[in-house]
Amino acid sequence: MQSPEGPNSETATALEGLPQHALERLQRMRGAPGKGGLFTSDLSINEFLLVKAAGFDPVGLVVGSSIYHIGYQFANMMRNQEMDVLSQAMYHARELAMTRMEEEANALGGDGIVGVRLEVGRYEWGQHLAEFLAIGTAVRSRDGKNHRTKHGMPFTSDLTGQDFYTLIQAGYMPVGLVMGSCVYHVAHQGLGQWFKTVGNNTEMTNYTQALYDARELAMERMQAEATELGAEGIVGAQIHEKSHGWGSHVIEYFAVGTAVIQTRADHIIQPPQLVLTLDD
Amino acid sequence: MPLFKKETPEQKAAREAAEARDALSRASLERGGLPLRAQERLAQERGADGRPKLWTSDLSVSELLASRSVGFEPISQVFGSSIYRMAYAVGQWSYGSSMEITNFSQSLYHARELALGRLLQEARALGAHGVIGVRLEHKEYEWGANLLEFTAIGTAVRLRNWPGALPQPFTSDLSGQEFLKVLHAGFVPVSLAMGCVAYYIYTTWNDEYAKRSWSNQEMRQYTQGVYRARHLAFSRLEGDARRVHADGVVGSDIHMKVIEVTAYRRPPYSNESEAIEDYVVEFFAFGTAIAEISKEHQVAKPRLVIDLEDKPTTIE
Repeated sequence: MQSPEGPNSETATALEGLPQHALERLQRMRGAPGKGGLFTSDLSINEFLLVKAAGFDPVGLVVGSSIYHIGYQFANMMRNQEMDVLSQAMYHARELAMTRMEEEANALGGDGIVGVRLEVGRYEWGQHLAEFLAIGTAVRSRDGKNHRTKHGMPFTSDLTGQDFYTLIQAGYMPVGLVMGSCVYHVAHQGLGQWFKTVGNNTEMTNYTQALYDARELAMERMQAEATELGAEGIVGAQIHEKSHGWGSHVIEYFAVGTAVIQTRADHIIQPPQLVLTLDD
Repeated sequence: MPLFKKETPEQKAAREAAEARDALSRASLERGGLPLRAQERLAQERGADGRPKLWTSDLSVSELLASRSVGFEPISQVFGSSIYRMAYAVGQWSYGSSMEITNFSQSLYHARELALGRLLQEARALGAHGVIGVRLEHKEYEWGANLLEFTAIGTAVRLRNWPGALPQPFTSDLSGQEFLKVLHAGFVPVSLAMGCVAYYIYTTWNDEYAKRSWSNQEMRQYTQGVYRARHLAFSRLEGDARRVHADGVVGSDIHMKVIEVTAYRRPPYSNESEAIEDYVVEFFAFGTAIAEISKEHQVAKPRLVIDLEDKPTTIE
């Protein structure tokens, strides 16, 4: 299945430029000859140590944001259907935020971004406006090898520093945070059905089918993105469910996970041992 | 988009095709099966040689590696769902004492069984040997009164060096790490075991007076009702485990929910009915049934460490 908006579509690239302030900040952080750079990160101490141990240096906290006007779509009360206008909006806006974050990392000379969080915020400006935010820590490899995706952009992942370290130890490498979105309208119950089921405790197959379909579509799209990146698999896939103020019958399913590729064929880790942690 | 525009023949054909698909999906669901969309995704995922083209999993990195280190590879995230109408039609009941609401207990079990059954069908369609990290959840939606969605979600896994198929993949709610520990200790997970009970607790006038009094005392009827319901839930869980010839159940968890029900009854001293609170308690017990495969249950002596893990933070 295709995504509503492919990762490399015209519209995604046409708007990806960064504001001037962002470019200046990134320039200062890179440093100049005779003047050292500075890194910022939202990594915890443990994460910082482990990212270092994995052979990467943090180069800076990177952000991408997009304020998006979400369009309107008419839904037939009595039909289960995907709201493709809304699906596309939710997908495209996240894509824009992600691309800008990747651009920032690129400007810092980062090879990838770890600990990416995707958030959707609403403001009081308007009902149909939402801010899509992507935030993470750009990292640069010390071994000088190419760790970028096949599109030449930094890899992205929502893995913590600990997970990132463990994954690399086991011979995998994250390639991209992959996502799929599906906004679905759940039909209102017809009178005939109401008569059939009133007073019984029974499965409501029309509802089951609607939500099942919506989740499957979101997962399918996430998988399509991973396949497109040439990934071997997806770890930590999650399905979030939210109604972004469209009324209770319209629900977004958002599937997100980190696509990984293998860097060596065996993924043998040292046999795990039982430990007793001395932390409180 | 204009609201009253007549649809073109193409739009009509597309809409009718979509509706026909939905009808087929519903027919499949009514048989306890999977909707078409899920069947298609699974068919796509399954590669020609039985190995998946792209695997997906909701395992964390550590869970993934832990399950790999005991020879299991993830195939796909698998999922099952069922939306069930559950209503306590209070008016229908005229119980004169505390007792189980049998048909309701059955519905609570059946809805979860449907969701779990669909998860297993997905796993079987992928040629999985088992499903780990199964989470059973239920939630209510704003748009439907008395509707509960029961979902089961987990990761289907396959033994790397064993091409055979199991008639029934195992299911377990153990995490990747727990799975490893259980295997190392000489056990295998067999199946999830569940017990569901809905129990009606009848408030007698003696109870009502006790509630109104100022002295401290045990509410014996209530204690007894809760005890009885919990006992029933656990004995059903046990029954589930025995059916699959398990040796025990680990990680069993029990959830309790209390629903207040207002009944109108005549007190002994008067002819006027008064409102009185009865209760319905719901118990849901579940865990993973495990079977012994080796008599040696040696557990290595743990090492002391200070770990680099951060305290878990909640997302969103």
